[in-house]
This record gives sequence, C-alpha cells and structure tokens, in this order.
Amino acid sequence: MTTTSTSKNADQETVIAEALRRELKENLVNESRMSPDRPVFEVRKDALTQALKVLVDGFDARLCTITALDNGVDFELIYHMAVKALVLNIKVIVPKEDSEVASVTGIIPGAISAEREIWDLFQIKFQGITDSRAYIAPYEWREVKAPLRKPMSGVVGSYQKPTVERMMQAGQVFPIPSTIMKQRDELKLPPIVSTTTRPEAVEELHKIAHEVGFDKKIGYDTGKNKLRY
Amino acid sequence: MEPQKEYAMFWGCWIQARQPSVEAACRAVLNRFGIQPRDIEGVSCCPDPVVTERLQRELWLAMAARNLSIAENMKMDMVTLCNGCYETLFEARDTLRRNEQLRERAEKAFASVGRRLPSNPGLRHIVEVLAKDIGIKEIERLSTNRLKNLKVAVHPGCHLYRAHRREEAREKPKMFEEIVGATGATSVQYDLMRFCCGYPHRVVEEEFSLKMMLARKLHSIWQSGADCVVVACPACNIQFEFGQLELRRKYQVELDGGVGIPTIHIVELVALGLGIKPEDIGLRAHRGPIQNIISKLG
Repeated sequence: MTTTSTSKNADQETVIAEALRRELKENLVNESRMSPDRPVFEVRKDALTQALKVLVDGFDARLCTITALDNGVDFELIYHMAVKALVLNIKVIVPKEDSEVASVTGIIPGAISAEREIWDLFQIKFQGITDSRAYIAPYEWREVKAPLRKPMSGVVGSYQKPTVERMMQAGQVFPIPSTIMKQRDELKLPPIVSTTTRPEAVEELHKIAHEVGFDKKIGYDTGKNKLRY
Repeated sequence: MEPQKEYAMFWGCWIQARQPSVEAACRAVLNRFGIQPRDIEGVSCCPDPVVTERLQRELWLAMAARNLSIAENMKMDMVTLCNGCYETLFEARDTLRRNEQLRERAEKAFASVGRRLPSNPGLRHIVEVLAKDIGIKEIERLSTNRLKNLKVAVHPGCHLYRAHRREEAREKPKMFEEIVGATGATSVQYDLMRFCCGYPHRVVEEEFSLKMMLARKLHSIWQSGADCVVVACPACNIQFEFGQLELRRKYQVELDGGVGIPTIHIVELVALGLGIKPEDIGLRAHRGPIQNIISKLG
C-alpha cells in the first residue's frame, strides 16, 4: 500500500469513527485494532443494525464476510466491512444463553449466505433473516447439531468453580458452617467483620472485579451471583 | 513488659471458617504479651496465590491492595497467620511498587470505588511477631514446662520462605524453629521437612496431592517419632488433618500406626506452652487425634 493510500485510509477511518461515536453513543462499547490498519468497533448487540446502517448509508460500505468465534460462554461475531481500500470490523458479543442476533439482510441482502452458514455451524439464530433454511449442513441438524459450537464453558476449571464462585459471592472462599459458628460462640470469639458479614464490601469487590474485567473474563453473572456455566 | 501494641489481624478464609481454635489461641497469646489484636472491617479473601492469581493478575492485585489499604488506614501493621495470605500480600505489595502498568490498573479500579492505593503498608507473618516483636527470650521466660515431653515435627510450609533476598529466605523458618524451642517442646529431625504438604496440588489433582506428597511426608514424620506436626499455615493444617482422613477413607492408604498424627498451628503450641488450657482455646475442634498432644502435657 502506498503512503498516499495509507494516509487516505487514516482520514477515512477518522471520519467513520466520529460518525459511529456520534450515532451510537454508549452503544459503541470499545474501540481497538486487530492489526495496525484494521480498526475494530465493538457495539452492543442491539445496536448492530444501527452501526451497519451508519456504514452502508453514510459511506457505501460493503460486507466482505462475517466471522463467528465460540469463546466458550459467548460468541463473537465480526462483520468485516470495506469502505474503498479501508477494511474495518464491527464486533458484537452474543451470549450463548441467547444465541440470537438481528439479521442484517434487511440492509445488506448479500449477508444471507454468511448468516445461514453461521446458523448451521454455531446454532446462532438470525432474527428476521429472509431465508432461514439450512445452508451447508443437513436440514435435520438445524435444531440438534452444530459442528463448531462448543459446550458452555469458561476459563474457570470445574475443580476451581466452587472456590471462585464463593469468592465472588461472599469475598471469602469458604462458607462458615453452623458448627463452627457454635464453636466460635463457645470460645467467645468476637463477631466476624470480613466480607462474609458485610454485603456492602462484597458490592465494592464486584465493582472492582467489573472495572478490571474479571467478571467478563470468567463469565460471572453479577445479577444471578453465579458463574454462567 | 513492652508498651501495648496493636496489630490489624488478617485472619484469612480458613481460620475463621474452619479453625476457631487457631484464632482463639492467637488472641490469647497476643493478649498474654500485652498486644491487642484488632479485626479489619470488610476484608476479603487475600486472594489465594494459586487459583485467583493465575486467573487474572489484575483482580488478584486489586483485592490484595484493598485489604492492605484497609489495614493501612487503621495505622497498624497487618499480621497474617497464613503462609498463602502472606505470599499474596507480600507479592502484591512488591508488585504495587515495581509494576507501573498493574499499579495503574489497580489505581483505576480503586478510583471506581473511591479508594486510594496503600502507600507503604506494613505486613508481618505471625512468626515474625512472635520471634521478633515479642521475642524468643520472652516466650521462653513465660513458658511453663508443660511441653517438655512433646516431640514436634516442624513444617514451616513453602511460602514461609518468601523473602526479598535469597539470603533472607531461611530467616522466618529459622524463627519458627526457635519459637518451637522456646515453648519447651522438642523439635525432631525428619528427612522431608522442606517438602511441600501438597495442599496447592489439591485444586488440580487430589490423588496426586495426597498419595505422592502428603503420604510421603507423613511417613517420614512418623519415622521420626514425632507426637504431632506444627505448622505456620492453616492450609497446611487442613491438608495434614483432612488429608489423613481422606487417605484412609478414599484411597485406603493406612498410615503407620493407624491412628494418624495430630497437627496444630504454631500459635496453639505457644498457647499450650504458656500454660493456657486446651479447652480455653477449643483445641478439640481439630479433626486429628488431638488427644495425642493433650496426653503429653505436663
């Protein structure tokens, strides 16, 4: 690529990034780079169509392809969009519990082949797709088999799950049995003042865990107070 | 007697949830030497230096820093009775000083909850408090002669060797042995003293941890003729006590003698040495054959 085209791409990228930030606001959750010349815009799942509309209507963007990745607890869908010589990615995270995302065939009719293929291989449903028939896999597999879909699993091994879950729930890794509480009373030990008896301290830990991305990394559902797998 | 001193006590997860006798013994011992143990409001798990640190260093550091910062706000040194907690808090304190990137990350996380990172937190293992702050001679002076018939196998535990410099690594284990000596108990030599109890391996492979680590260590201790094992860490304590039960029940490994060997924490040994009654610290709450120790008390 020549210096002139690199510079043109950089200008183009700046304009596109500004448009996405302006239109999507808090629905644009992260900006990163897959490589020096490949910007990635992560958007909320519900704002996928809106993000692609900004690119298609405002910049005549073309869809090159959609890639899907099974991360264990979530799917990552990446829409590779070309605006002249610039290729950029729109990324959405699809929780495995839902396994559903809006079809973009309404604005990009050519997306249908990629969406049907991903549905076949990962069992991700594309809501509003114009043709939902199986594409490359046998029809009878549709509801029962998806060759590239992994079981729901995360970075926490099965033997570590009780420890990690308990640490997130109570800030301490072991529950205190009633027999121990009785022994503590008999020994006249003072009341426990750790996170075990301080819900506000556990809440603080959750905020810290969220801030450093731990909850996301281990697949912890703060609302349900347990691991998602 | 030295002027009264206070320490911010970091009990960790194991002691308060499983070993009330260790907490009771520690409070009784510190009080006997005019030291006030103060509880730390809202502390969490250290967190553990095996599972959590491997999962994500940022959270591990932020949680440890939060614990250190609460104690620092109390304007007291933090004292831990657990080698694992000591390892985490020691390492976290060093990481905050040396790793700018992780420090910034922790600072940002702290800002989200309105906290500030600790600037110069004091941290001590209970072994250091006993040997240095109270003093070996003072323990010796106040100890009764009750433990003269007790033969003890010391197990310092791996993380007690944690130090800034290589030449300092033996300091705390040496203090540990000196404390045992000051109580009047006899420390016996055995081949695998430096060998790990196997506790960290439990989270990955229990059978290996029990059969290849603990059973070998116990066999060596039994051959030395020790009446009990003394540890500086509640996790090692759990491994020795529950591990023996599991070896017998789950893996049909019958240890020498059949009855097993009791395990106590160093603060419990000091408490007994000072003449504190076993029932006053709830020693019978242990799961091992603790009667082996009680019957040897003079």
